[in-house]
Amino acid sequence: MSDIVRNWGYVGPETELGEMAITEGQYMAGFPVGIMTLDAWLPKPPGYTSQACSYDFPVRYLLVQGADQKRIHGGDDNLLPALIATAKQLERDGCRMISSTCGYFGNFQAEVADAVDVPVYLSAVCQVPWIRVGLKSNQKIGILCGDGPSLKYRLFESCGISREDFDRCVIYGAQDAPIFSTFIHKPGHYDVEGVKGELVSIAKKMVREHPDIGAFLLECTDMPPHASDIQRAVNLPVFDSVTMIKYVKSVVCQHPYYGYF
Amino acid sequence: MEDYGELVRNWGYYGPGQTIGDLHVQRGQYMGGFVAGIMTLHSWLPKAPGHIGNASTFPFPVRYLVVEGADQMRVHAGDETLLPALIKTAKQLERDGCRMIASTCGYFGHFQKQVADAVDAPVYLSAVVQIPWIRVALKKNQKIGIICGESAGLDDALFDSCGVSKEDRARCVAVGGETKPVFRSLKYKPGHYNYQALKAEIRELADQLVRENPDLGAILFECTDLPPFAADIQARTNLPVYDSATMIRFLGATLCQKPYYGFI
Repeated sequence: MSDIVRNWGYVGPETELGEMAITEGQYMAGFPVGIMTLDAWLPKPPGYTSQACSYDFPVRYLLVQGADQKRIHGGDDNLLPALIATAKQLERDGCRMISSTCGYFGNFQAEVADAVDVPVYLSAVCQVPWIRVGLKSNQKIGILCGDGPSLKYRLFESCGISREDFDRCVIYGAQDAPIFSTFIHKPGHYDVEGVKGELVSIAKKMVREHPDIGAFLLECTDMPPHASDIQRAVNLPVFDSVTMIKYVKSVVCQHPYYGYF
Repeated sequence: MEDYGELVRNWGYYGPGQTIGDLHVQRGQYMGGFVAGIMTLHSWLPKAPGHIGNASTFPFPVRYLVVEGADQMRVHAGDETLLPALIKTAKQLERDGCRMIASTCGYFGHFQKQVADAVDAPVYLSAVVQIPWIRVALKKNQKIGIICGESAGLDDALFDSCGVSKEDRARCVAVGGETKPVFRSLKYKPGHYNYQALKAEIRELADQLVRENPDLGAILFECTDLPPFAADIQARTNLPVYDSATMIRFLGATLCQKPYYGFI
């Protein structure tokens, strides 16, 4: 039985706060979203999942010890204890949902969701069934990811995606694009405009080669800064980790409505 | 602590019409976009909106890190053995990209001078640092009324560390939470409290300040638990109310300058 105390009600102009209680060891409050963070120090312009300014609500980041890109992309099961400890700490800090700064955390989606009481959405890939239901039955989901060869069915399965839905996905990776490819091996700096050009050009190639793509999904949390450029180029819905986090935040932080009759 | 090398600042505002080119980030910075880094007391009081320990108090992103061993007793007393942990935490917040360092307890002010000296980012650990700024706006005969968690902790050493002169200190009158049952219990009984009962006590303390000091020109909350009550105390006293939330928001404005747009 969890000892986590929830105070999920909205405090507004008419709220009369009375007796208040808090979880033992909760030293802070007010974070709808807790984000498990990859050990990667890429520059983070607004739009990054690991950029606090990407959201219009507070988010809390905690680094997962040992979670470098290679181990996360490969789904290294030895990381599970550290992942679960971090998720539990974020829950104790008052976060109402748990996410991550890399779509390949989706390799661990099922295990982490099972270990904490709050909802867990570690990867943008979790959105696949929700995207598919909105499409025509002959349309495809175009997934643009950071590392194509590592995006295997195992990750989709952990994210609760059926084989049938997986087969509706067309997967392209940016791992061979000259600037994007430096992300894994040379942290610390990159040319943002250069990456934008690379991603837009891959997206255009995807719709050229698969005219039945009905929606885009950006697996990689480095890509949301360029989502609007991709949308401008392909004129399709673009789902990414930021759209996912904003959506789930809205369901764990319901506000009363005010307005005119 | 591992030596991560030089800090890289990216303080420019990124807005419409701007193109980002080559970007650099410091080794070990895993996140970005935080304005204030807030060193956090080892205390799990419920934190209503307005509390400095509540992220929804601020109009910009803030990051909290708990300072190992920093319980209320040691921070109120200014226990110097905490200094290494404080400086380590401040440096980590700076490394995480925070543009200023603050704290969740006004008594962190005991360490203001040493922490400010140890990091490159500006440091404002206690609402008490606002005193010279409050005083300059008042008439010569007016007083600053301080409501603090515990009078004994509000000592010469704290004022001195916060850069408050003896002369300015003489302009201050303080009342402490030690005389009030709920306010006092915040130090000894974490986990819960009654919000309305605490509000009633803060009203009594403010009323006492006004009653005993007809020349009161402003109120300052030392305690980071009190900003939720600032509007109520202002409505009651019709005085400027300074607290740690006003301090952090003010600094946020200086650290995150945005271009202005409009008509000419």
